[in-house]
Amino acid sequence: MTIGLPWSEVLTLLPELCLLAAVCVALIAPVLPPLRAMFRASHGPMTALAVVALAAALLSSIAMLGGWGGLSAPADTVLHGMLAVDPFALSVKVIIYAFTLLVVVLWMSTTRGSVRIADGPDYISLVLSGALGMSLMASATNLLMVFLAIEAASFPSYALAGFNKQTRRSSEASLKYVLIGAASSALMLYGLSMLYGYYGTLDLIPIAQRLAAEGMSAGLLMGVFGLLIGIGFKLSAVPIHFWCPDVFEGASIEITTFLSVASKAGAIALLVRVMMTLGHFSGEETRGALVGIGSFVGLVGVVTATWGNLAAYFQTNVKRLLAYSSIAHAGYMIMLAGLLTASMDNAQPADLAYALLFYLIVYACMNLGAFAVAAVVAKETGSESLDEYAGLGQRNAFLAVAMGCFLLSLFGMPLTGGFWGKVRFGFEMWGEGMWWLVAALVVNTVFSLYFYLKPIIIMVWKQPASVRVMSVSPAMYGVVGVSLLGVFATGLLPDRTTAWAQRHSAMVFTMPSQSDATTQAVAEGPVSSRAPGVAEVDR
Amino acid sequence: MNELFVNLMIFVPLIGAAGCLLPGSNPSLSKMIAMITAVVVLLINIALAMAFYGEAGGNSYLPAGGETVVRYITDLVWIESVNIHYLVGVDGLSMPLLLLTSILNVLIIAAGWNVEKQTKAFMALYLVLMFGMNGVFLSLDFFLFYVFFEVSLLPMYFLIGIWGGPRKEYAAIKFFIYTLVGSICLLMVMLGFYFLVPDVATGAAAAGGKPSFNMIALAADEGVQQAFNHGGQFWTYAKWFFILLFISFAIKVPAVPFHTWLPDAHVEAPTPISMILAGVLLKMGGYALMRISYPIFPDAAKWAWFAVAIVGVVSIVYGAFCAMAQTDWKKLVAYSSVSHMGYVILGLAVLTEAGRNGAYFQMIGHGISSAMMFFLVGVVYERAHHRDLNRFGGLWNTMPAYTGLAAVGFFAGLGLPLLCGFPGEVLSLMGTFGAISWIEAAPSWVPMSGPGAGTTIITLGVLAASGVILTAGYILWMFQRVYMGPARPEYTYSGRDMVNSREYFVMAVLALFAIILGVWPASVLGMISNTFNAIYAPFSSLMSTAGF
Repeated sequence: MTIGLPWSEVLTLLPELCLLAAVCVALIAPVLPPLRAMFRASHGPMTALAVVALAAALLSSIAMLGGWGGLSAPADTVLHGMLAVDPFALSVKVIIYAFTLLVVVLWMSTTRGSVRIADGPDYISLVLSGALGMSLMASATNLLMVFLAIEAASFPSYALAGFNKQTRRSSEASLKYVLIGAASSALMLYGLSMLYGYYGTLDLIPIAQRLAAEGMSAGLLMGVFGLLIGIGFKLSAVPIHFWCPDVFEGASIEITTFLSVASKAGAIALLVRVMMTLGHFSGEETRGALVGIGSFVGLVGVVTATWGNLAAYFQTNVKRLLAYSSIAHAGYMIMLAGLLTASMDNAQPADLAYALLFYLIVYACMNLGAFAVAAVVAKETGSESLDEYAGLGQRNAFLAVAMGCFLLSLFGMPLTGGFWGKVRFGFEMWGEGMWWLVAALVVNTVFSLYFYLKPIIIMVWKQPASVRVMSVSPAMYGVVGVSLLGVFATGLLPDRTTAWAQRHSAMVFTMPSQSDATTQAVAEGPVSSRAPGVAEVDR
Repeated sequence: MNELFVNLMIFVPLIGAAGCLLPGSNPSLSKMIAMITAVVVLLINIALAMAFYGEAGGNSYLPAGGETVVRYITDLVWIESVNIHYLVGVDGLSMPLLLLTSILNVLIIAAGWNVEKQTKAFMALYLVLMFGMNGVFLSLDFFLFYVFFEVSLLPMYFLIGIWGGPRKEYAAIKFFIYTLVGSICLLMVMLGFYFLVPDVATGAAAAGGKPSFNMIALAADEGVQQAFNHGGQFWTYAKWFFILLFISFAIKVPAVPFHTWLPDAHVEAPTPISMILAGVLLKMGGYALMRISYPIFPDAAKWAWFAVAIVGVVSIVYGAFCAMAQTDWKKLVAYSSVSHMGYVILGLAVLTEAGRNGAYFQMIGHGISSAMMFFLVGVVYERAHHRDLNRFGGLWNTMPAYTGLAAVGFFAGLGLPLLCGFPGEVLSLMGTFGAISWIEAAPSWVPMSGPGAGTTIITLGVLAASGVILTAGYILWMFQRVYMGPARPEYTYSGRDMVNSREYFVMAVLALFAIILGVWPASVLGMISNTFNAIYAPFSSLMSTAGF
């Protein structure tokens, strides 16, 4: 067997290559004598580089998704089964890149001043390589790739969390993040080695097929469990969530924003891929075990959501509050991911992934918006305490109303996107007969009302220390406006987003297979016996 | 044209709200805009009512039922993937409540004319509330109804929370959380419809295999009815759904034991907001029971009749006792609402024609009398700055004209014959006693059926009737403490503190309606009879045996 680099397939990684190129430029260009002066003068060139790279990545992934300019999403895994560049992965990448782009804009107009210009290249290269890792997580179909992607996403995140070296909290957060990250990586590697020991392959799809054919054993369960720990760490699932509030509080606000959505989007995409692959290829004997795994994941989701919602009650720091809120939302998404495997009907999982895509879009919009408002307020007042929101309505009515909308959307108020996200989850859970998940979702939603209302109460009722009008830069109005638009576009007319998510939720094994040549070039061993996938989503 | 009017009733308030918030508008302009909006909506509503009751056939919606109940339909697909429609229209069930809302809107904006704190925002929020209320009464799609139900919640939260009394934040959040729990119960039922209805719908609710949230069609669809009725495949679901819906609407009504948000909300809310809360928002609960619970789940309603009736009776009696114990004047009126709305629950529970006519009339009558009582309290509170019943006295001597109107308002609340509180209570009680025959003859799965029914019903009826006496007790006692006795100097007002013509206008209009409705209850009953006969067709067999 010769392992060559299939160049045609490399092109399918165009978005990642854009980011990689930008990372290289960011690291090398500032030390080149002719350019050094330019990069030393201001953050401008570095920011521009990041924006251009992310825009290029975004455009190329949209082009691949839409099949523009001769690009298309390959119907099979690429690079020897390492990665799947299917519509599902690409849509998650679109979300990640668009989000990271807006985060860079957010950084530019709020907290950029706190980063030394000399550190700018490091900062940008870390953000971009983090985004690269996260988008690889959305694509990974080989367990080694899964590990590498998670690490590629994590290492920049560790550094970014501690980027503000002057603050003790920041360093503490970073250290905590590294320790928990290292421990969960070790457990994951242990699990992966177990799976490799059983099957002699690390490709996810053959493993799932063999599992379906050969049945489940305790050792295998440990392997799967290890894998889930690795993903659960990125998702801050209970009980490996302890890093999340501290990191979110300690890190600079744009990094918190970045981690709360982009990192979780990548991780949830990975979880969905794993769960769906397992569910898709299940056989009669493994059905029970898979339902068990799915229910376990669902249960983890329930615990995560409940824990996040309850812990959010006592928070007085807006970043911590939003951190717990994002733990809760990760919990909701994990609940649905569990459903993918627990689904009793093998054809069904394809119909479920769209609900997660829809949720991710909404979640990205509302979280970005809430963090953007928080960033503006933190910049103006110099503090991240909830008390600073006192009388925000009088200081800047637009920000207050927007923040109110984001919080109510996070809660799930009708007419906002958050409502439809949860309702779709509820529909799908009920449809699968998972009553307890519906009940948990409902109870959690009720729990969450109070702490989402708390900032609104403070904004409206508490008298501010000063009634000086809060100035907001046009770029921030742009970021908040885009988020607001997203929240209401998905809330008032959810059909378009739903249809988009349904069209783009197919995965490699649910897409009609392309030419045999591609299959042969890619597939080795058991992969070639892959069943032709269940076709299009038909809702 | 009338279809346009229906939509205008929903969206004109939103335009008005935007107008209030325009950068150029000042407080007095925003008040004018709000008043003009309310008057325009009232005129549209009157035109709509005249067209509706003047027309014989009109735009029929239900071919199956025979009766043309819902008219002036607008049906647009809103969210295709879940088959949610923007479906609005008007029928005899919604029309009187809409008229009540529109009339109260004008009066309440007049009552709120002296709001000085953030007037623009107050008026804008009130108009958004108007949007929500009209939407609730006009929507015929369950999901749309739910959305309006929630939309009316938010402005109310802010109206209580910003313009309220000392404990406003507590009251506002309590109101919000209670109502929201109710909304979530609604959502669960909708989830159920989404999955269950497509399997069984055969007629009006069959939407090509998609779920239907059309409330009228669900009630008229034979397949759905069969499945949800006793012995049908979804009978267990029907019972659960009825319970969930009942909890949701009982919170809104509010019925004991879900009533505890109400005294807090009323005590803290500013006078105009108390008026709309008692006058219209509570009625949403009763309206929703009549619109959704009873027509869609007739057998579950029979199954639950006893429990619902108990809730009604307990609300009547417990509410009355609580009212009697209050020394805060507004809290007394608030608990009287709990007690009065108990008649709505009881009248609906017994499933007789007199009972539900009484329930409906009670909603309209209480809408007038409770709004008036809250305004009467507000007029004095604004001058005396306290509401302690034990510190009042002699207002009759110092404010004679006001006291004359107050007598009308409070005696209407008391249920004096010829005023608007009487017909509802008496019909509701008559309906209760009239239920003996059908319950005796009912199959065994209906609770308390069989020969013993008479005793049960009479016990319930007598207990409920005792509420009338208790009501007389607390109202008269209150009247005595506040208005009777020698004149006191601290309650003698002159000059700018005299009751002004704006306040007299509000009280006089309300008093006028209290008298008209009391003298001529057939006005309301005639407006609803056709619709009631059509949507309560599943109970028609009961009616014939019931004698009422």
